[in-house]
Amino acid sequence: MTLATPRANSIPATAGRGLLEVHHVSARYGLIEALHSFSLSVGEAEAVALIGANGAGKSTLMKCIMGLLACSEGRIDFDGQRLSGEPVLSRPHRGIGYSPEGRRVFPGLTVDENLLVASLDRDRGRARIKEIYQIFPALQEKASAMGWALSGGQQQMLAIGRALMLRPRLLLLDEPSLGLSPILTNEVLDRVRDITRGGTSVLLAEQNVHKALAVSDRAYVIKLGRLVRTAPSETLVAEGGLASAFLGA
Amino acid sequence: MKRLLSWLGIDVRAPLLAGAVGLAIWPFLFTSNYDLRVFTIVGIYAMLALGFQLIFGHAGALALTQGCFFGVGAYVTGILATRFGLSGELTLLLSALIPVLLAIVIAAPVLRLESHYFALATLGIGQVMLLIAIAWQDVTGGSNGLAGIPPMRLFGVEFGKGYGILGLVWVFVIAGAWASHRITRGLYGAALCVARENPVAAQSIGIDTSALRYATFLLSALYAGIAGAMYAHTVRVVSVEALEFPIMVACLTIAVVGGRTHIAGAILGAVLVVNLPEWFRDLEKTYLIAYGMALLAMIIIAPDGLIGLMQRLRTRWFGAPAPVLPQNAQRPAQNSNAGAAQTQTPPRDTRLARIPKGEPLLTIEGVTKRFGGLTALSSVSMQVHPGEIFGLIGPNGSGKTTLINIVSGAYTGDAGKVMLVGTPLSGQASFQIARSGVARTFQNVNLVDDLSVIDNVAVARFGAEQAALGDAFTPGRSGRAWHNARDCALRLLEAFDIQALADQPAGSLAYGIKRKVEIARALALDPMLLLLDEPAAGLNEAEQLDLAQRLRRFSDCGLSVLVIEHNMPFLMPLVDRVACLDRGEVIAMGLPEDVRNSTQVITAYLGAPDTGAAPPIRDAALAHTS
Amino acid sequence: MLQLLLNALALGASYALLALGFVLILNATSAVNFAHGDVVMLGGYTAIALHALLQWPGAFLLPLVLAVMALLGLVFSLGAYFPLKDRPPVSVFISTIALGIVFQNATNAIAGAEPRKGPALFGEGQVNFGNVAIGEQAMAIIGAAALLIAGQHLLFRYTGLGRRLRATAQDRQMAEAVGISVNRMIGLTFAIGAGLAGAAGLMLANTFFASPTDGSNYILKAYIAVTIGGWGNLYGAVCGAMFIALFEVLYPSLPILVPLLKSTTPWLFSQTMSSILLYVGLLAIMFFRPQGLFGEAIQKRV
Repeated sequence: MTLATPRANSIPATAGRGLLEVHHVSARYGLIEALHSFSLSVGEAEAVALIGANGAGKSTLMKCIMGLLACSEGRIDFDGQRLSGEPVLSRPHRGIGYSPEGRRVFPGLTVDENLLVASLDRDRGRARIKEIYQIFPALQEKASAMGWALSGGQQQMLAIGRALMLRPRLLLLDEPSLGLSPILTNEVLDRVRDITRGGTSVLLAEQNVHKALAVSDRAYVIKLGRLVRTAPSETLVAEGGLASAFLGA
Repeated sequence: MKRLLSWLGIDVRAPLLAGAVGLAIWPFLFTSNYDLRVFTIVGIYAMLALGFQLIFGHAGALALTQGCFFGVGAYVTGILATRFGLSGELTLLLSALIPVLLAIVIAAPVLRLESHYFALATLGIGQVMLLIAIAWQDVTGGSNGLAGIPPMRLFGVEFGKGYGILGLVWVFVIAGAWASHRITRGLYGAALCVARENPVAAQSIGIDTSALRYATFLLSALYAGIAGAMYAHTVRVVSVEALEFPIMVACLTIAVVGGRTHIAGAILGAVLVVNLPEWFRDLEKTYLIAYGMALLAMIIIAPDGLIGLMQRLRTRWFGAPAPVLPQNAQRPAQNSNAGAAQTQTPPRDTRLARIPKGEPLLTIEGVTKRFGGLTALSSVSMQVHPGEIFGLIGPNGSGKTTLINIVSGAYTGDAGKVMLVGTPLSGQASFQIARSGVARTFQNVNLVDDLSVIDNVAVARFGAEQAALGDAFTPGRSGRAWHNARDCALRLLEAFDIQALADQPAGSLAYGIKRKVEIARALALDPMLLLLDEPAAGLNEAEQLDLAQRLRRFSDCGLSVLVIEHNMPFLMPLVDRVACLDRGEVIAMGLPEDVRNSTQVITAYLGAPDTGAAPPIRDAALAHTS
Repeated sequence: MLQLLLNALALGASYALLALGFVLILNATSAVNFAHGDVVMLGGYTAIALHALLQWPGAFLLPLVLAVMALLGLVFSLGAYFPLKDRPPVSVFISTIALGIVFQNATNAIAGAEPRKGPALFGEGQVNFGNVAIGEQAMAIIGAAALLIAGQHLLFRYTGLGRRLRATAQDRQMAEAVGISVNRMIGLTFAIGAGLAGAAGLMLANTFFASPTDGSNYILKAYIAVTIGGWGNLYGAVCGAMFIALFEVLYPSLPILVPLLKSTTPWLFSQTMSSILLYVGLLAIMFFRPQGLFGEAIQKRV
């Protein structure tokens, strides 16, 4: 079964206004137009997956939301207020946490320090760290280990934990499975459910399609910078035929 | 007359010509001995800056040795003339050569360094020479220096105070400017430009960037040595001032203020920098502060210097300068028939004919690569046959680009070997591998934005034309080599139907066209193997089809292609065979249909076998939500 | 012999301060500050000026010098770094060279070229421990430098501000993404680096005098220290500084320490020769082990 033709403007209605609203955003990454008039929305406490092949534009979109890349067109709103055009710094303050592609933990800081540096003050930070360790018990054992010494899986957990330090309302998770074994991928992505249950929305960009659909409520399929399909995750899983989308018919 | 006017209208030639005329009549307007001497010093600094422009402006390396070489040249003249009474010709020769020898000695440890290491290392050398000059009193006169240096005497003619030495200095300046002009034109000059702007790209098209830096470093020393000798004969005294930092500062200021790559900038800068303390004699102590502020202001506001600023203003006020037409713009009509068969196909290589039947062109055996703790490639092996299009796929981070980087020489593998027919490639520098017949493109198009399309492609003929520094001085050689290179480039552009854009600056083009230019440049190497890294990225469907067709045509004529791609609709119909990498290992290799349907490949990409309607996964999803 | 070692230690401590400031700025911004040596020189002159004004001993002037130099560092970053931070690195080299020239010549214009003696931290006398006489200044320098280095270490390792400074140096973009005000951190790093350099200037001005052209010499010391220790490695730089000082003090004294060498020509063991050897050694290190003694070999990423 082939994928349906693009329905770029049909965003499934969610109860109430979306927490994150991306309206017809276009962006260039280097010279390539990596995103073309892309729209999506993420509601409160929901997990949304963004799936697509490499170079499809997933990370580009994440960077646009974070303000690390400028959108040439379109607009991004968060909680009803304009987000695009604001400095990068405003994201953590407004409640957006970011776990980037490649994890990018601070290599010269310990696990504890990596988490602390993302908090606003030390006391609240220390209390919050305990909660983070409850989500990721494996990290607690490594509390004094330096960032560069951690394994890929540990770094990924740390990156997510760091993003959660300020109790964000939205967590941007960019390709967490990159470089991780299937077992670790499962372990990390299973947490997504816990995170949304705690009230934080998650926007997950992933190339591991099956796992991404397994932990999300809805999904957007992106191909060559364009929206190709959006539907509840269960629907997409039931339809199947995704292999052809990625490997060619 | 019209021709003269149109010639003048190109770029900023009109104001420069006016300036040249002004400069020529200056010494006849300001005729006191003092003024003539200042004008002579202007010439000396212009000479110094011209040499500096070669290493700093053209090769892009901030060498702080220029002042040191100048001082050495001055001292050599001073010592040999006063203590040994050697003739003018000999002292000039040695003043020119000894700094070059010094440059050769220090080049080995220093030129390999990255920019900031290099700059500081060269500063250190200057300090050492200064210390030696102060300490070695018997020879150098210590802090007092050497006095009584005779006027310059060449072949019986004395170039004394006033017009004599002034004339000689400016003759050298003109000669130096001419030499600079010749060196930085043509294939060699274009190679310098690419090596400076994009060293990785330069290496990938067969340019030895280290050799270029080395050559310009030595040349800069030559210019500085001559300038130093002239200085000694002008002021007739040599002291440690000649080795101190202010001279280096003046030289750097001239280059930055005038313009790093513009010959006129060296002269204009010298006029300003030497005369400012004269014009503002009240600011005697503070003129260097003015230099500092000027340097800071220039680097922030006008990094191309005054000449660059003039050019930008000209473009803004009068429109872009008329492009210099390639001499062979009229040629295509003549060539197209003879070249028709050729333009569609890269020349069949006798090298290919030498490969025994059945032997692979490229052999990759057991290649392993680690970055710190991460294993990027683990014992990867594969072969590419002559005339084959071989695809390389795999999820993000699987090691595809790393593998190509090892084949092209950008990385060295930790284990295993790569062979091109019988010759091992592992361990060779990337420019050597490029010259052996392996060309590549990059994920992000690596063209030089300021060069025209045809120049971007032509520069890849550097190795084939055996371009060298000496070409600048062999009559006709430089012109011919450049001509041939551009001819070849034009034919390649025709093969891609983009010859109409030949003179456009590469930076202004659409992405799809840039991609074509980059591939054309790779083909200019006349390779046996073409490595393409995601060539279809950013191209629309029509462009992708076009590219696929061209690649097919090239391979039909014997070119082998190894292409990395994620775009399956583009890749699968194109390739003869394909290999899939995952986490640094080859998990499947063979015909496209077989690889595509392999469960391991599907799992690698999607994460779990795609079984269509999949109740087990559904249950798992439900379990999570409960 | 003890006096010699102490002198070497004191010199090393001063050099360590200047190398530390250099590396901090380098790590935070990947910018090589050519004017760092001139900042050291300015520290010396600031101490001299303040001493002329207030007549306090150097130790009391130290906090003032730190404050003044920190402010200078901030202003410096605004002029030489921030306007050029998105340009190729050579632009920042040149802008810092430019400001260094301004510093050198402004000082020359204001204070003249004659070397001037800076105030001692406490006194310049000797203290007797049993039958050994030890220089006051040397001890004071070691003490003060140790305090400053310890202070910097404590700040960076144990405070929130220090964590933020380190994070900014390690991954600037990510630091911004977690809410750190990166520009403020960079400005602060320049301030701290300049402060440490100024303190070094104060300490060196007493024994070695201050003159406007000292800058080129000091920047080279910083460079050699950092190259020996491994580019970007804070504590390697301190070790490198110690090594340079030991060499500079002990080498010219070898004929006295090792009687065998007494008969050799005087210039072989002169101060000049030791400098020359130091630079030649630098070149040798760069040739054979460019990553320094403690650094890791960096493979360039394509």
